[in-house]
Amino acid sequence: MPDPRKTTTTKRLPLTGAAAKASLTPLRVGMPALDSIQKTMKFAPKAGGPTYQIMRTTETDSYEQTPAAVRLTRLLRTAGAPASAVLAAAVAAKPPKGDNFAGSDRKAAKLSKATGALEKFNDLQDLIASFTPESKMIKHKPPIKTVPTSGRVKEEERNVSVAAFLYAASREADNDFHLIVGRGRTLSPEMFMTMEVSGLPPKGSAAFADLNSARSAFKKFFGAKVPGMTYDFYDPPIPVKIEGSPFFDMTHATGSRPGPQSLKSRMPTIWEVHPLTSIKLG
Amino acid sequence: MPKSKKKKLRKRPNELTDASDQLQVGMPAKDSIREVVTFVSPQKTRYKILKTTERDAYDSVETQRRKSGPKS
Repeated sequence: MPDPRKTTTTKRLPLTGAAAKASLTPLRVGMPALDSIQKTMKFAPKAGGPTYQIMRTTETDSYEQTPAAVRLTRLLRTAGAPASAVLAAAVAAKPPKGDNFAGSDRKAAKLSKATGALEKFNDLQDLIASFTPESKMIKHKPPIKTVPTSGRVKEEERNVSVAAFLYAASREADNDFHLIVGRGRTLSPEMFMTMEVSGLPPKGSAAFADLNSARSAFKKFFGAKVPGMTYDFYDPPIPVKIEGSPFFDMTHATGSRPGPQSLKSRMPTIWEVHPLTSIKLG
Repeated sequence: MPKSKKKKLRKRPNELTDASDQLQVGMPAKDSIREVVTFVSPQKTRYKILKTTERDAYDSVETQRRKSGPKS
């Protein structure tokens, strides 16, 4: 009997009633909730190379409190379907200006490259298993503070590389790109984690060259279709090879955690790879 | 015959699931779980009820307030 996860298809986007550019397989691993898709776009990063469908959704990190994110949330909670034009305008809110990092929590750690030798992983599951348990990090001695001067602790002094797949991405208010990276679609259990293409540190910073190179590579790959405030999902997921430094997201140790609603239940950790120092897409 | 003690066992969200539980098919996002209650069915099967903050996205705040009743 054919697998319904592969054979169930639709072109109708229930949020707007519009048609997708190509058939969607909503039951496939790593897809967004069908009613969160605002529009779809065809994406061909290289002439003659693989093509993808970008699904621009209304999903954001649930803790986002920017005026644009709050406006979108309110719009989706109104009775009945929101007007397509109003919804499109809300999703297309202007991104932050420039490329510099605009956040503050643990800024020193986020904008630094760790000192450890590069450890190579071929499966995201193994990378996630290599992280110190969250319970230990939360009770870390000395405590991990969230102030801007909070630097890397010894568990974060590692550099890692992994080959995996990019399922979704968005641009945050602090100018970081959140990448939701997961295992291959045929592997069980499904598993995703956050990796971040960081906003840039000051030019004189030791990590500037690596962070700028990774950010430029990411932006060049997507061109005009770089993600905005809401999560874009990719069908099929885009192969990705990354290098970067693990980072424990102490800010979200309690309360809402990062990630789009459709994938969050399969994101077992608030460890991130942050910043990425190298990224190869496609 | 002594009365059976019916007891709801409540756990804090942090105690409720280990990493392997969380990745089981059909689990809610970890950060949506506000309480875990052990439930024993009439057939004596034990279940965990995960009470979450999740709701239908189209429910307005007003509807939610009405559902949860007046606040003191």
